[in-house]
Parts: sequence; C-alpha cells; structure tokens
Amino acid sequence: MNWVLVFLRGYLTVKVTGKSVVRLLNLCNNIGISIWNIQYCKDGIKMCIYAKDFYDICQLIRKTKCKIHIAQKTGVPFLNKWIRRKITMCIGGFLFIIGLLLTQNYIWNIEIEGNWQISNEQFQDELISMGIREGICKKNVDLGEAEEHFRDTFQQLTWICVKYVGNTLQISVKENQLAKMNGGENVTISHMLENEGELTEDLSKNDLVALQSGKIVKQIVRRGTAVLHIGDDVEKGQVLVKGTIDLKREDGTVEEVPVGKADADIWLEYVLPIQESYNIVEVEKHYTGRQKEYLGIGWNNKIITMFDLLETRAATYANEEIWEIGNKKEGNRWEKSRPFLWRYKVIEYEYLENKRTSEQGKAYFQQKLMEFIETLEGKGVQIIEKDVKMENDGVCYTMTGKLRCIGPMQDLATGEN
Amino acid sequence: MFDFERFWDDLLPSAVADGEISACFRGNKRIWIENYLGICSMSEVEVVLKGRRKNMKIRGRDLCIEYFTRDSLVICGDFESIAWEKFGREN
Repeated sequence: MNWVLVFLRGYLTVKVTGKSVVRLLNLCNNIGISIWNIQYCKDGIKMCIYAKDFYDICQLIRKTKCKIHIAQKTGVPFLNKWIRRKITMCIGGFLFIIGLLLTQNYIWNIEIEGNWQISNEQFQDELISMGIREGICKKNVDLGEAEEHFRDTFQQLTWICVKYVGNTLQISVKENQLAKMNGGENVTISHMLENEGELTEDLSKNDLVALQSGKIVKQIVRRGTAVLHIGDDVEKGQVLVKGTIDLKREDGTVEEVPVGKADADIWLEYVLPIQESYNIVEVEKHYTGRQKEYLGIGWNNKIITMFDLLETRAATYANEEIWEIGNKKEGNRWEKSRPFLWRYKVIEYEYLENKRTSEQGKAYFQQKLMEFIETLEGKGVQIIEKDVKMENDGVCYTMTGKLRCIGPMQDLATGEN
Repeated sequence: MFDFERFWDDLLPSAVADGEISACFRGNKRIWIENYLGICSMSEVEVVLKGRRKNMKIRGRDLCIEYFTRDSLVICGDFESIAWEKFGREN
C-alpha cells in the first residue's frame, strides 16, 4: 500500500555527483528529507526523493557544491502531460468504467428454465405485466414478489426460484408432472368431473367420501364401516366408508366407536366425457428462400445494421425473420439482449393456408385419444366402452364422446387416490 | 554498596541508554540499523556508518541504502563482512 501513496505523491529519481555526496545525505537526514533507494554509481549516487522536497534539496546542493540531475519523474503529478497527450483515450477509458459500473445495476437478459407446459411467452407476458423487462434497474424488481406472482398465476408450478446470475434474471421452475399429463397443452382432452376441486375427505368425521360419481364395482375396507356396497351408485362427495365401527351393547343399543381415519380401496365404474377440437384451416409458415445477410450491433432484440454483406439493400420483404449466423445452433431466431457484433441474415417468409382433410382430423383425434387412454391406463384405469364421434362445423373438427371406465376411485384432476 | 551501573541498566534498556548502534539482520541480504549518527562514506562495496563510540563498516557487493531516516536505515546487498573501527582505526 505504501508504494501507492508514494506514487500518488510523486517522486523523482535523481543523480547527485560531487565530492560531498555523503555530507549531502547527512544534511538531508537532519532536515527530514525522505530519501530511499540510494545506490552508488560511478561518479556519485542515485536516489529517490519526493517531488516536493526537490527545492529543499537544491539549497543543500549549493551548500555542498554537488550537482543534481533528474533521471526520472514518476507518479500522479507527472501524469498531467501524458493525460493531455492521450486525452481521448483517457476520456474513453473513464466513460467505459463509468458505463460498466452503471450497466451492472441493470437486467440485460431474462432466462427461463425448467418450464414444459407454460411457455416462455406466457412467462414474458407475466413479467411485462409486473413491469419486468430487459434493461430495467435491478433495484426496481422485487424477486420475492415476482415469485409470489408466478405461484399465484400458474397453479402447475410446484417450485420456483427467481434470482440474478450476473446481469441475467434467471427464473427456474418445476411443474406438476401429473397436471402435465392431464391438462397440459399437448394433451388437451378435457375430462371434467362435477364440482371439481372440492375436498376429498371430511377430516372432522374421518369418513371416506367419494371423489367422483360412478358405480361401485369392488371395495376393500381396511378401517371403518362401509356405508355403500358393490353395485350401488355413488355421487361425488357421498360418504363411502365411515370412520367408526358399530358396537352392540348388552342392552341391544348400538354405539358408534371412532377408529380413526377410514381406509379403503374402492373401484368405480364411471363415464368420462371427452372433448377435443382441431382447426380445419392450418396456417403454415413458409420460407421463400430469399434472404439478406448483414453485420451489425445488436442489443435488447434491436439491431443496428453496419454492413450489407450480400449487397441486397434494395430488397424489402413483407414478412421477415432474423436468424443468427455462425452459432452452433444455426437457424435459431436471433434473440440476444447483450450488446455485441452479430452476423445475421434476414429470411423472408409467408403464411400459407392449408385445408386439412377429415382423414387428417381422424388421425389427429385417434392419436390424441390413444395418448389419453395410455395416461389413464398408467393410473390403473380400464376402458370398457368407447363412444366417440367427430363433427365438422366448418371451422374446426370436433371430437366429443364418452369413455366408460373401471378403475380405482381417484380425483382425476389432481390424481389423488 | 549501591550499584549505580546495575540500577541504570534496570531502569533503561542498554541499547537506548548507551546510544550504541543497534542492528537487525535478515541473512546476509538485508540489515536494519538504528541509533546511528550518520553516514561516513558510501560506495558499491562498502558503507561506513558513524556510531557513538565506534564506526560500523559493512563490506559486500551491490550495496544499496533502501531507505534512510533520522532513526533508522536499511541496507540491502550481498554482505561479506561487518567490522567496527574506532574513528578511522580498525580494531
């Protein structure tokens, strides 16, 4: 640290010649002039002194009849000339440091990972609604509040973490896998039960209640007393097994003794409604093959063109897309928020409308139905009857129908048994 | 009988009381000297420091005074010998 202070004060490396050099040193010492790095050279000595002591030492030089010669000037006071000579570089460096310090307080990129059902666009929309976007100050973002908002908005999320990684806002999520199978975007077959979302068990009475409507086909009661029996129809919310057992007293009266939470395996036969639609007209993006190639500076999804590499400046496209060149994932859309020099191409595209045939609609519904049945079979549900039909209303093909199933009683919305 | 010499020794450290040169070595590369009165002579191979009773003569190669204040002085270099001489006459 000492050398920093010495550098800030500025010092001279001087060469002193003459016969009374040692006397000069002793005189300097007596009046308190700091001297260091004293080296003997051919006809005198070399030493370092503070710049401000130079005029004091000159008086002693005259007294001792020596000669002094400045060999080197070092330190901040002597940088003045150098700074004036390279003023542009100094200002540039200063502005760069200031810019660096300022930009580290901002969010330059938003990364979302772990999402499967919820698309990046949905997250982006929510972020915009909260006022979070690239380029805003970090202190304006409340990460806890953002997490809370996402949890409230997306019920599929089981875990979420919003944090900063450098200047990137990283959103890591985990989604409910079961909800993914039943209600995800890719499997859109809806199966709705009446009064969905109610409590499955009345905990105050320890009774086991029906999670869905149907007909009892099998039941094994482990604890409690069965209220309904095989062949009985059951409505959702109806008590199936009571959390008590009946004890008959000597006087003939029956007393209900609580045994804790009722436990039983119950299989039901029930009807599952399904509905799915498929647009007749399909809008497809088609790349025409025309393209322009540029070199430019891009930042925050905006790009400033610097060089037209293919010299096709005159060409204008109605619909165009920017692709990045030179990346491993070539062909990806350019979506960069960090300022950098990018080589990119502009691709022309157009939208083509294809009319889907009824065969295509059938194949689509067949595939969706198979996927849904596989999901049900994974939960131990058997399909005993299918009644599905496809309709065409001019805009889309619609599949409606019912599946008659036998399986363990469960709330299909949550997958709980 | 009262021993004045011992009394003064006990009262003040001898290094301070008698004003003799005090030196601290780090190998033969660096020496830290206190209580010197001044520099008698200096060259690349020899530095002579003035003490209260005797002069201290340091011989070696590439001798350099690293820093130099009223109270202390540090000499660097490759020391070969250190001798004491009584005002110009070597003992």
